Amino acid sequence: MEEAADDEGELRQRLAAGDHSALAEAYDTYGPQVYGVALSVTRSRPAAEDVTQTVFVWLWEHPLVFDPARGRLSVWLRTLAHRRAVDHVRRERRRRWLPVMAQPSGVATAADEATLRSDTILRVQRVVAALPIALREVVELAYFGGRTYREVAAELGLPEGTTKSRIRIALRRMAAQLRSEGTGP
Amino acid sequence: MTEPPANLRRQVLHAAHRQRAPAPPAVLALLRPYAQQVAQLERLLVATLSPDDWTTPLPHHGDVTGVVTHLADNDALVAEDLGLVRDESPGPAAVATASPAQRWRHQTEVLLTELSRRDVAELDRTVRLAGRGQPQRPLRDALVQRTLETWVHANDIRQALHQPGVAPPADHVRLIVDLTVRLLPLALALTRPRAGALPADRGARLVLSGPGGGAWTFALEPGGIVRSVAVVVHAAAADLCHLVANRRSPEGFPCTVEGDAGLARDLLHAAATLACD
Repeated sequence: MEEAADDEGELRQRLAAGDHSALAEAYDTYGPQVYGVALSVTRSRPAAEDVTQTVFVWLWEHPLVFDPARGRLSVWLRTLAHRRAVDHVRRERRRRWLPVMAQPSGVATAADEATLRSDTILRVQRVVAALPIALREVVELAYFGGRTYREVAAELGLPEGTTKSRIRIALRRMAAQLRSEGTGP
Repeated sequence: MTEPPANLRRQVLHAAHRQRAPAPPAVLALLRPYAQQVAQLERLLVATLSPDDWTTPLPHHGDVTGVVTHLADNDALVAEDLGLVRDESPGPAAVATASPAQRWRHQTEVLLTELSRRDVAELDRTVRLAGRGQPQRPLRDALVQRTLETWVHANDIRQALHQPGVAPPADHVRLIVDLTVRLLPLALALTRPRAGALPADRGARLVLSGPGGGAWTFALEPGGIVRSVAVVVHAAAADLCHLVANRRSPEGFPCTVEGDAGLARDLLHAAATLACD
């Protein structure tokens, strides 16, 4: 354990010194873990590859941000991978899912539809963004990320019951807010 | 666990290379040993020492606080001569309250990070070496001296912790002996009581055993040419590192000598003056 910590401290200093072979060593040691986390969150191989690349390029550019006195490099990299992967999922869902959610039901011209859809997207985004973080993250993973509540619980490290109740509360609040604005059901 | 695709490794390394160029090989050859010694000392300071250990009396520089302060002061000679100041450097108030360890860590991080971006020509730039008279030498020599001194003081601190000293790795030993051989002619001229008594074309040979060992032949006078060898000194490479670090006395230094015994003694005494203390 101590030897591994020694290695991580040396790896950090060698990265700071511009030792490209240190980055290759870091990738060989931690790459599968980082990719595994990224794949489990994004469920997309191309996205997991992007996240893995982002994480290791960040390590190469900012190696001294990692402090070996505060924890292990493997944990730091997996945490970074998780954050980047969740960011990726949020971006993708905002881009792909919201327009589908906002399909208008009435008859309208193409221009009207576009305007209405755009307006609804903005309202839903605003309502989601206004949720407390504990509710927002479950909604984003469950609905925008397409997870089951069990998967959301596992990813966020929450009990399944807590996850289910947070999802219910979040949806109720979103529905109430959208109704009050004349957008929701 | 799902393995990443085989080509991802190459993509990641190329993307990283595009964002930040690696240090030039000649620079890295001197930065890597320094980085390794810095990591060793950092581990001792950050993870191993208890608050009480900092005031444990030591033969050199009083205690651990004194050792780290001394090391940071000597590192600063190089940092100052290269003008290495970063925007995020602590301001005057932060400097005043920074512990010796924080100051040392910050300074080594600046040195490693900034030098990793410098061109290989930078290695020829003249800076002050630590030690007697602070001689002006190329940066390539100063970096080896930083590696040597960081190793020496890490061993000083291990002494405070009642831990055994650690020998430098073989590639560090070779760099240290190379530097010693480059500096010895000048040190000999400054310390040898019978200066000028030897013809300029005579040299000495060091034959060192153990990790990092080998044979080094060098002129006895600065800029001299070796046409014949006046003395051969056989010793352990690690012992020579301790000698030039002033952690072993030239008196009774374990070695065997072929040739001029008086000259060998002068060489050993000259080597002991190369220390940074």
